Amino acid sequence: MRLRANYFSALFVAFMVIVTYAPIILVAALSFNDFPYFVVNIRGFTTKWYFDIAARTDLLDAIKISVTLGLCTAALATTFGAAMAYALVRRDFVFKKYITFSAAIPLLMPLLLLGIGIQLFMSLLGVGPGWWPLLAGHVLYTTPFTLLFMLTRILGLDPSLEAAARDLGANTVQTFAWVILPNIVWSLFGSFMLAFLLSFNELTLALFLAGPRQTLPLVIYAMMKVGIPPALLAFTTLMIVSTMLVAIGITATLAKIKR
Amino acid sequence: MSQTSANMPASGGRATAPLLFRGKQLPPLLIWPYIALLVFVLFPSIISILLFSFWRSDFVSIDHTFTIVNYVDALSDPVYLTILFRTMIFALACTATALTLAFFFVVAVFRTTNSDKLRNIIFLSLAVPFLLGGLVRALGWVGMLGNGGLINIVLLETGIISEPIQWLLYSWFSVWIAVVYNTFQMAMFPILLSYTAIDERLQDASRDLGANGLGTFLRVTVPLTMPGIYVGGVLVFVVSVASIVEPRILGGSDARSVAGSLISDAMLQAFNYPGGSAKAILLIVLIVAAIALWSLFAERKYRVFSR
Repeated sequence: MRLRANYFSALFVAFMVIVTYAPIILVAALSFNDFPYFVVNIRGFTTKWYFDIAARTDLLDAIKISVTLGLCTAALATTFGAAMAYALVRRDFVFKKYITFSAAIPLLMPLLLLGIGIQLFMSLLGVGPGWWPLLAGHVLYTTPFTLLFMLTRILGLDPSLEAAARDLGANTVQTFAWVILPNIVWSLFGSFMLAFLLSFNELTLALFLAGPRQTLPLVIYAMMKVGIPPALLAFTTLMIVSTMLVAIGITATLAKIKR
Repeated sequence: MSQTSANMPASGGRATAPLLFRGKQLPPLLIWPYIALLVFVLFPSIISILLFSFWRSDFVSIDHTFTIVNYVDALSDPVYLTILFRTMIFALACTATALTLAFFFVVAVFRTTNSDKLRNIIFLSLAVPFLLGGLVRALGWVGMLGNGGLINIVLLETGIISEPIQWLLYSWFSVWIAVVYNTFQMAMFPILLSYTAIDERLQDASRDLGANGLGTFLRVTVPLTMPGIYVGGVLVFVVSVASIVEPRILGGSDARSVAGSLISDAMLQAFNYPGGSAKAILLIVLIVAAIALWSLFAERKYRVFSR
């Protein structure tokens, strides 16, 4: 779109970017502050809070649970999202409209209601909160995102590539492995990371479904209700840095897809 | 699409899926697992909320006889009704703020630079906090808005105020800021999609025909962006009306009581599943009503569905 460069607009954009990053950078900055409270009272540089993390075994135990959950969720959500995206773009089938709408329901449903819904259904089945209900909830929550992510890629794939592969005698498996997969592998990677991060940081569903094995957000939430120890700031900073790295990875993936 | 699938068995010699319903095929096998998850977990979960809301909890067990007493209880409780009303107003305020900010942000980015690459970097950089999760974002706002927070300290140091502004944190204000911050990108991306699809010649034509900047904006740009504003509005409203984490961490004694926290307290602390379910169903009814009104407005005034 042809528009004049506009200083007021630039100022507003800069303001929004600053507001977006200020809280995050503030947490990271205060994690190095030599003062045991979460206030802007700069006393000097220290890295000692980072050594406190090692003593927080509750956080470290929860990481294992959250990483396992995130990996399982991401694997399932990416598979489901990619399969759905491919089927919606390339195939025509009965109930397609209803299936498409159902796949979007988790996006339109607040996590609070999804959480209590699954909790109630599981209690009817006699299943208490735990690993499987939480995994089901996370897969339902993240699949619409991986589906959208994969749709953007598969919509851009030329259908004649697959037709050509089939005409040249490739069966379904060969067509997938040699023609489709190389074209979507970066998007699969991107949706895997997206689903992992969404699951890893998810709190609302976990409140209702996690049960005794507390995920990382639950442990942090419990800590925050009491107070904010500096070790939590240090730990959060590590989470921010690693999330940023993965986010840059996803962005680079998107750039690679666009070519 | 249908042509492709009709051609496939002929060209590839693949086994044809059983034909059903006016020549249409069964859904491909590869999406059956996900359909199973939807049919056997998502749908029963939604139905479970409805079922439980018509049962009764007598502290130890659930009485499965049909009753509407939970609804009567909820609707005759003035505290609950007040909180439900406040939650709706709060969610509407969050939605309006997020949509306005997102719309002007998208326009501003387009006016700031003509480079597509730079635009994409700016848009994606605003989406990154979404991946951090609600807790980290809420923690950041505690640090920004508290008595010893960045904003108060800067204002104190520069002498603009002589004592910290109390209402910044643990108030409706802080919850509002945090929820808008969380939902901003849900408004931004749909609006961005609609905005980029606008044929710029329409805006030029409007100017050539004598409309001033504001006229073009109100009569051409806003209506053409309406599909994005509509979708963004739905997504932001749905998230903000049921937020529980931000009110809990950033809300004061007042702003902590939102519909979502009442429902989660009933479920997690009182273990009153039927009571919580009835409150959840009432919230769902209000959400659906709000979305229906919003759809009606968007269709009547801007023809979002019949383009």
